[in-house]
Amino acid sequence: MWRRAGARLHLAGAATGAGRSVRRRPPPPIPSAPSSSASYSPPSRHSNGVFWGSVGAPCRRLSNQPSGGGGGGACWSCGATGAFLSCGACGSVQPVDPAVDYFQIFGLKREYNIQGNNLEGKYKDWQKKLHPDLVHSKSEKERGFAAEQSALVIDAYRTLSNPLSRALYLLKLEGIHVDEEKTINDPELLMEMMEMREAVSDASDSQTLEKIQSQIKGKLETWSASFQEAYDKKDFERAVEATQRMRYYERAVEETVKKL
Amino acid sequence: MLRTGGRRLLAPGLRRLGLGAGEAGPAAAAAGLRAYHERVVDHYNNPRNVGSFDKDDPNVGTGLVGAPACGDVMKLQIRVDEGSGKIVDACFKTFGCGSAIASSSVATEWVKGKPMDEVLTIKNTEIAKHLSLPPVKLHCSMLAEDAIKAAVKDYEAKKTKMGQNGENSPSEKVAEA
Repeated sequence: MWRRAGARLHLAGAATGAGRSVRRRPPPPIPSAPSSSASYSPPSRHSNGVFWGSVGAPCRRLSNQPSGGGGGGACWSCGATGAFLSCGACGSVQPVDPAVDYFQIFGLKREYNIQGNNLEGKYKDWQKKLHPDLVHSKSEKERGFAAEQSALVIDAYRTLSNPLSRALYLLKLEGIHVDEEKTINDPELLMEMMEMREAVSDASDSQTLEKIQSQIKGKLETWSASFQEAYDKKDFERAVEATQRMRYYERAVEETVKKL
Repeated sequence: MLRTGGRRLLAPGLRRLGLGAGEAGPAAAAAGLRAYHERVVDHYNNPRNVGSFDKDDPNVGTGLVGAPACGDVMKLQIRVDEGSGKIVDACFKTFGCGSAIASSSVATEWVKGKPMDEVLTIKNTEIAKHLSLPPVKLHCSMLAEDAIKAAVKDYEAKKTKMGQNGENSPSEKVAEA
C-alpha cells in the first residue's frame, strides 16, 4: 500500500523545467543506506517486520526542506518561476512533481504534531485552484494535470488529517516500510485487543458503547503521544510499535462507530 | 450490519464483512459484484466452530495471533485427546475481514480429527486456494496457519509443564466467552 512513490520517480526528469535547481542528483543507492540521522541498524527480519529500503525513499531524501513550498519550477504555460502546483502568475495547473511531499503541499514542517495549522482551510484553497471542474475549458493536457494534482491534494489531506496515517506517512518518508504480512503473537497485546473487541461486540446499548469508545480513544491518545516521542527521538522501532497499537485501537473505534 | 438472530455466539468479527485493507465492502457484495468467493461468504454467513474453550483446561491448546498491519486478531483453540494425540474439537474467534474469518473457520474444520503433527503441515496456500483468496488477502490464510501452529505449541508447552503424570481428567466444559 505504501509503494506508490517509487513509480513516479522517472517523471521528475520529464516534467521539470529549467527552474529546478536541487533535484537532479542521482538517487542514493537503496539497499542498506539508512537515513542520515537514524541509529537504527537495518536487520533482515526484525521482530516486528520492519525493514529498510522502501522504494520511495531516495526520492524523498532529495527534498529535505522542512518547510512549505517545494520551491516550484517554471510554469509550462507562461514561464513564470515559482509555480508550485499551480502558477501564481497565470493560474495554469502544473504537472505533479513527485519530489513534493504532502507536508510541503500544505506548507508544513515535516513533523507529527500539526495542530493549529488550518489544514482544512488550506485544502479548500488548493481545491479552488486545482479542481478539475475549473479547467473544463482548458487544454486536455491541463485538464490531465488538474485531475492528478487535485487527487494528490486529496490524498495528502486525508493522510495528514488522520493521526495514524500521518504517522505511517512520516515513517514512509524516513524509508521505513512496515511488513504487511507479519504476524505477531505477543500474548499481552493480543489478549488486550481480543478482550476489547469482545467488549465492543457484546455491548448492547449506546451508553456502554460510548463509554468503551472513549476508553479506546484515550488509549489512542496515549499511543499517539508515544509515537510522537519515539519519532522525535528517531527510535523507529518504538515508533512502529506505537503505530501497530494505534491501528488496533482505530479498528476497535470503527466498530463502535458502526454499532452506534 | 447487526445480526438480530438471537444471542448465538457468532464470531463477533462477522460484522465486518469485507472492510479490511480497503477492498470492496458490503455495497459491492450487494450489488452483485463478486468481491468474495462463495466459500468465504458461506463461512461468514454459516460460521462453523465459533466459540471458546476454557484455556486453562489441560487438554486445550490456545493459539492467539494477530496481523498488526490490518489490526486483526485471531484465536484458534484445539481440544486434544491425550490418549490418541488427536484433535477432537476446535473453535475460533476472529476479529478481522471476511477472509480472515473464513480462513480461521476453515482451519478449525481441517484440524478436527487429525493428529497434531499432521495439522502442523497445513499450509496457508492450501487454505487460500480453498477459499480462492486474492493475493492481497493471502496474509489472512497465513494468519490461520500461524494460529494452528500456535495452538499446538501452547498445548505442548502445557503438557511439558504439567509433567509426565497421566492423571488428567479432561474437563468437558466448553466455556462460552
